Amino acid sequence: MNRSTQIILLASFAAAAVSPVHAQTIAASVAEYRGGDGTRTTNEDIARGMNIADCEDPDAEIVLSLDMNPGQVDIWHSNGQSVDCINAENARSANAEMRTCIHLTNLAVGADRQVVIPVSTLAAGDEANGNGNDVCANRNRTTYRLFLLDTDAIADSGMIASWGAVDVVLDSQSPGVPSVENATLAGTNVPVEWDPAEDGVDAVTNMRGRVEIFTDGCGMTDVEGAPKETVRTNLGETSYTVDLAALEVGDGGQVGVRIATEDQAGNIGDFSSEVCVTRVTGQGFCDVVEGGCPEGCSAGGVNPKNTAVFAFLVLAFVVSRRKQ
Amino acid sequence: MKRRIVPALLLSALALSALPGRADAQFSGELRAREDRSSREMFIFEFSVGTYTPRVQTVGGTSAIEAVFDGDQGPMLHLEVDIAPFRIPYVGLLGAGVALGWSRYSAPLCANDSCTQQLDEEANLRLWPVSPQAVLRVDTLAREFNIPFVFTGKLGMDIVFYTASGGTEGSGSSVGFRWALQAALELDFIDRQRANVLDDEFGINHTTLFFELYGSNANSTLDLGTDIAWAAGLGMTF
Repeated sequence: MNRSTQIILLASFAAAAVSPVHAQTIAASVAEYRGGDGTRTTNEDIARGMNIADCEDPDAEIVLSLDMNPGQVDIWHSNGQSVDCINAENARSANAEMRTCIHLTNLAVGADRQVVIPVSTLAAGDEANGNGNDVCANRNRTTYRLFLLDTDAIADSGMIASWGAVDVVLDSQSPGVPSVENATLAGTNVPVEWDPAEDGVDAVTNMRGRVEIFTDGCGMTDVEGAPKETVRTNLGETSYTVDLAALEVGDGGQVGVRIATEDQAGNIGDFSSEVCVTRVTGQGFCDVVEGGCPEGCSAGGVNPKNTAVFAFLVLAFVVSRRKQ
Repeated sequence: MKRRIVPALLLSALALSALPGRADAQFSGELRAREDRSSREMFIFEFSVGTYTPRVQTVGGTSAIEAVFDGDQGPMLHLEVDIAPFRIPYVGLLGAGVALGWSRYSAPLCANDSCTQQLDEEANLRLWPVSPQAVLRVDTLAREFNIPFVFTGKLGMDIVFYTASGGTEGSGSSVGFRWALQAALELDFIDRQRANVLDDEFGINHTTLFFELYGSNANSTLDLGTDIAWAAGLGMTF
């Protein structure tokens, strides 16, 4: 090896030693959200993200799962913007006033390759400049990209040996007040319908209704401790049928109903005005026909749907044998 | 100039229209041969839509459908499959089959008999007629005289299942006899070449548009039959 070759090799090693390695080698994902509405681990829960209850819970945490254990990770985030906190100029500047990304903290990775980030840390923002301290203040379904940097515990300006990124969704804005069409309704099985008051981000199909039924009558919604039943409707539903017979409300009896909208992340908005539902037994088909609807009938106990399906199966069998 | 162009265009159009005509003429021999060896008709499939008002009455002797459902007429949907294993020469197909129907009637529930107040819930009645029946399909005109009309008579049982909700709930069934008369227009004449391809490729001998009148006295419990009702739809023999 001649002298010039040695010089080139040395120069190459030196360059490699001082250059940051920008290859993403850590694969990370959200394993669970703890706090607020409890521990949530399903894919749907993760996609729904964190909500106001998480922000208000001082013990709430985000648990990230890594595919390797670098010992410690320095955590940054993009403050809800599409900023590359690895390569962008000034993204992680040592000059706190210059940086565009938010530096959170340096955390140890557990033996189970998990990192536990307190939501309070995320909510506090960058200690050095106060940026990003509003993530829990009225952000409507914002995605925060968390960058996990293996920098040998040297914060801010450490050399990056490897890094990973994971998206965390945070919705700290409640939906509006749903509107109801009628202030009074009457019947026995009475559908109460509402307009779910979209919050501009969540599709109606991802929202639910929270229905409170005050069984002691109308005008009880403001009474502390008034007996009530709470129902959480299925996703996307904008009506709920109040069964007054099941609630053991007699003829002429009343219940008060009010509805709040729950958004995709589980934030619950304010309740609607009260709908007063009165039990009135109506005159249906079986009430007016001569002799009523006889029990049992000539083919009593036979389910018409099953009969139809059976008949179709027989026909399908016959047709499948056609012209043989 | 204009006087020459117009007749020229007309002549061109005539010539163009004659070309496919000649092709049809060349094809007609083969077509007839194919018709002669068309596959055997054995099954009849029908889908139809129409109105249906059950005869059932109120205590006061008026129509219950009128009183509760404000005269709602359905609609009634029908699916029918018949098997016709016998062909009577110069008459048509003879067989049997099953028709399945579905109809729903709904209206706001009334608070009282005279319906001076309507409630905020619905009264519903659903009917599922199941009708096993004998079928005679007379296709003499279509087969022997090339007149594309087929007439069908049906006679059998009618088992009408029902469920009612809103107010007092109920469900059950009513049984009786059912008849039907149908006039159908065979659509083969629109494009005989394609009709033959349908037969060759899928075994569909004929497609029809039909109109049917039928009645039922399914009244063994509730009188869910009707004096007369109509249905129109699409049929296939295969």
